[in-house]
Amino acid sequence: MRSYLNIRLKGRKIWMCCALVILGVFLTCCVLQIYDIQQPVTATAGTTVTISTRDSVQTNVSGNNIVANFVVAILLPKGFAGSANTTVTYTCNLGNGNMELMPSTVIEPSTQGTTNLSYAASMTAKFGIGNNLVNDLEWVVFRSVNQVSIGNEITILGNVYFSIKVGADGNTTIFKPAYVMCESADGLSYYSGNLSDANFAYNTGARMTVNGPGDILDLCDPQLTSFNPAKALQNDLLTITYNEGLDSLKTLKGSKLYLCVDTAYTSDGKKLTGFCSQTAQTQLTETSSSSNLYTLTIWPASFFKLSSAQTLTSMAYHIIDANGNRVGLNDSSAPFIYKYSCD
Amino acid sequence: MRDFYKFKVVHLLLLLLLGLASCKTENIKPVAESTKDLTGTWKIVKATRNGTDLLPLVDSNYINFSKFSIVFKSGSYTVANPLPFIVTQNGTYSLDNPQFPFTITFNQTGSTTPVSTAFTYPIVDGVRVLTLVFSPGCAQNIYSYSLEKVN
Repeated sequence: MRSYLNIRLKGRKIWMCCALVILGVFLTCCVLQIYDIQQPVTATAGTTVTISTRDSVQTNVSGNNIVANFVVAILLPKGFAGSANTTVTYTCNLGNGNMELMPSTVIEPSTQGTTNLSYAASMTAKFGIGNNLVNDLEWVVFRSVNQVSIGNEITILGNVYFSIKVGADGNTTIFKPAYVMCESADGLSYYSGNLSDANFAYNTGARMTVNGPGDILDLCDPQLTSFNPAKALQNDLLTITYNEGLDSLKTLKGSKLYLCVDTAYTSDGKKLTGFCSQTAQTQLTETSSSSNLYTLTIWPASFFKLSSAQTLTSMAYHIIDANGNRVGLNDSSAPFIYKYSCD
Repeated sequence: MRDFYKFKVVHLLLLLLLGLASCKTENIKPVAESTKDLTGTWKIVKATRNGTDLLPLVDSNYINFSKFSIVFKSGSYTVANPLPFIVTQNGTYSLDNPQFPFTITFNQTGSTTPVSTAFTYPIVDGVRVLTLVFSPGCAQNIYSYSLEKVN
């Protein structure tokens, strides 16, 4: 019995050592970093801008070489139609090359067998919309046209160049790009789940403004009111959020706040009124105690009692309290404007 | 002694023949896949918009997921207490394959344009779940409703 116990203890130690070695191999598998992001502060819609990043990969795990594609991604406003308007090239000490759009049918390896997400969907799940606030951005993912043989315990240094025709929708867009880099054999498998993980190639760019003749879309600065989804039509379910913390004048009193639509406009030129009320249908609900964020979800087609022939184009609105105090655009009395559009 | 062995061998051969004769080929017919019968009333048990759970967001008095229902019967469907959905009018429906459907098509009354969407019909926790994915507004806004049969 004593001998048996001794063997058990030795076995446990051996297994613990093995586990630590295996853990160590995984933890030190790769260090991927994106740095020295070069991007313009401003640009004009319709022009082509170049963004470059420097990238380094330190491979540090024993085993055979892996043959894989380099994978890079950039977070862009949906209105840029980044998939159609972006080309990517790279240079590195393993060779230079072009990149192609990652097919949406390719499963990102860390989700294989579980959620089976595409690269873009997996990046949305892991990195969200970066340092932006309005969910009107998308991850545009590319892979190297040629596969590369990646050896062990080497350092790959390179540059990635994104050439983007910005502002395809013609709007003025303010946003903060973000970047991801990995390889196709492992995908995002080594991402720790911590956005500030310095060992995994996720990084964010500075604020960028693309000026266009259309609407102003500020995707990264806190707004008094915001919409989810950011772009919607009358048959979408539209969630409006009012950020009371940004009401510097403290115009609204109490916790009963309401959506007051002064006028809704339809494509046939009609102006719909009578939708400014303080009722249960228009009352916003605080997301949690003291969050200062109030939300209301409406189905515009039903809310405005539209006929099947009517198409909603925009609405002018305020947020009001139980006493009728009103907050509008930039904390003024002018109404907020929301346009019903997919572009 | 030799006759004894001959006798034994003959008996063994007879036994072997009897054993072989007792075997017969059994033809096993594969079980036919059942046709996917949607007949009944279906209610929403889960709803998402671009991956966000919609159920906590809606006002139960004005946008009511628990009241919404769709009834499938004899090739027709009827929607009650409408919500943003793949169709807005009642009509007929069809599956691309009754046994292995991948697509469900709705033909709204008064419309000449059928609307199709991917059809998934898994068993979750022992219950059939019908999941429909669609975009009632902007194409980039993806809604997913999961429905369970209530009768």
